Amino acid sequence: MIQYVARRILWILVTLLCISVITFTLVLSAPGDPARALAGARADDLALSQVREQYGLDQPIYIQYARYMRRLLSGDLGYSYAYNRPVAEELADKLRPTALLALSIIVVAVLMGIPLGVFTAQRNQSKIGQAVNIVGLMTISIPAFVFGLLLIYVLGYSLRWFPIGGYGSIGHLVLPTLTVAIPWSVWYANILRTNLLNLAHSDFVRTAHAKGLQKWAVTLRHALPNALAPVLTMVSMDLAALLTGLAIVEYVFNWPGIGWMAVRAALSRDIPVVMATVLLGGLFIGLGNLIADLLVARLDPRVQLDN
Amino acid sequence: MQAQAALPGIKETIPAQHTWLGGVWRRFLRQRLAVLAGVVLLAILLSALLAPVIAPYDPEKIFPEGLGNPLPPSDKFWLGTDGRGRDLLSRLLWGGRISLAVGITASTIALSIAVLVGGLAGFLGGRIDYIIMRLVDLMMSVPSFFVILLLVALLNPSPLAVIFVIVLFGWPYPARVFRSEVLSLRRRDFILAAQSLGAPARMIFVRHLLPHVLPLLVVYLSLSIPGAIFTETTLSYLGLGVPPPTPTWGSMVLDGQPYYRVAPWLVLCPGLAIMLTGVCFNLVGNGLREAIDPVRKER
Repeated sequence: MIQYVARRILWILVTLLCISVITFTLVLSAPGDPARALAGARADDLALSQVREQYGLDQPIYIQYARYMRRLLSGDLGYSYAYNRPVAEELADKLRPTALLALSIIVVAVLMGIPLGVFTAQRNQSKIGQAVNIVGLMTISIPAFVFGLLLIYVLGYSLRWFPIGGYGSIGHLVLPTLTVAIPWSVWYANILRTNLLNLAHSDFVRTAHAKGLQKWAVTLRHALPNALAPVLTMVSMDLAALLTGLAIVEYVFNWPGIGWMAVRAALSRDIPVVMATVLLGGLFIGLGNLIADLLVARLDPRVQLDN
Repeated sequence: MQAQAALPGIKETIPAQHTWLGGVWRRFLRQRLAVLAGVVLLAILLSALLAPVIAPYDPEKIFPEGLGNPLPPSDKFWLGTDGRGRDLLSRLLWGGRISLAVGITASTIALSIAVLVGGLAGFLGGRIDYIIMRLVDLMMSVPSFFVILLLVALLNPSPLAVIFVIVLFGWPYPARVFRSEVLSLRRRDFILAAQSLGAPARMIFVRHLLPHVLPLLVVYLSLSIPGAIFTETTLSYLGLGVPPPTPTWGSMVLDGQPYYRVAPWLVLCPGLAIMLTGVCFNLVGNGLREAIDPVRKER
């Protein structure tokens, strides 16, 4: 177990190393002046010469990379001339909003998805199943920015129930949460429904019926816990994806998280910030997947942790 | 369809032309929803292809009467005009050209790479397989959207840059799928037979393995195009994709956003176009999967 976790963490570190090499190489080999890219679009001449000096841009590439790496390892992610402060500080500020939104999305998606899945599995005429399938396809086929704008128009502008963007209160959390949680809950419901229907023919469910249990009791007490495991696997994997995948939603709703910052940095060509989000995102994905795998192994005794 | 020399009492059920492709086609036609989606998809593709002929106006032409205040749908402008006084229907038709072309091209390239890389990894095995699969693992733990942001911030926005980033992150997952497919095919008897007849490895791969993987390729193609279109529209929406004034579905949403209170259809029309295209590709893909491999359900 400890050995497994240690190996996985080692792999995460290797991955981060590779990612940092790739991003740095990309920036150096992109058209234009790498000093300009590393300092950000708004840097003045003084800043440019400082950056050249710091990264050793007039030296061979391996020295440049060694210097970049040394700065990374000491926690220096670069300096954002657009925000006029170190990138690391800027990132730290944005962690909380992103984590808050991600958590709220997961909770809402699960709370809506599980009842929906159980309900539609109970009424499995093929018509309903097909309808749920199509609605599911529709919700995942609509881009987040379009769905978000739709919610802004209906719930924010027409009905004036929730603020249309910004950060601060619970109300601000509602629309961005729903934008992602609605399609995901339909998706979870779909998987859960399929699992429940597959389990309906298994021996232990038949035994429970034979004991004379009520239909609902069989579903909730016997089938559901077994059908939930794959859904929870997906949920925990999605959590990792969420921390890096919220960018567009954060941008639409002006939610000051990491993705919002990454998009704005990309738009203003503030390269150090984007580079830092790439590294941070890699760390999130690595740790998230590790936690997901450990969780699944705990929930489902059939899963073995190896390789 | 009827029997020519059926034994008495036994109805001959094998149709006259029972080719493999004919069977796939018949099983596909049996799924009404997939057929409907296919027809709609064909209409979308045709209207995008024929945009220069059927679009009522030049998509970049500005009508002064709509400048600054989008006109509602009328006889002259069937879907109204956007905030810069351009005909929305024409832009929708032309926008589909870019979004679909980028999506289809990028997916095709990504999946071709996936078949070759994944197929070779599964076929050759050993050290090559190990290296390729670690590379796939690495690619899949990269936060792709942030890297895409980095790339488009470094490169100048253009359709080619968008295709490049979609391909870059589009091949690893399907490569894994094709690898496992080849792994299971490799143990089948016909491969063993070819091997024992002394067929060279290259011939076995090209002549015996690839033809079995190709149907799967078509399925994955139609399932992965919506994702590619998503990436394109998202980047265009952010203003990091295909540069203006060229219309794409994503940049049309961006252009329409300031007017969402007075003219919500400016956002809704391109949004619905993206959704409809995605749903249709998915339904057709699922239908094809069912038709090609009726026994195995779900991945």
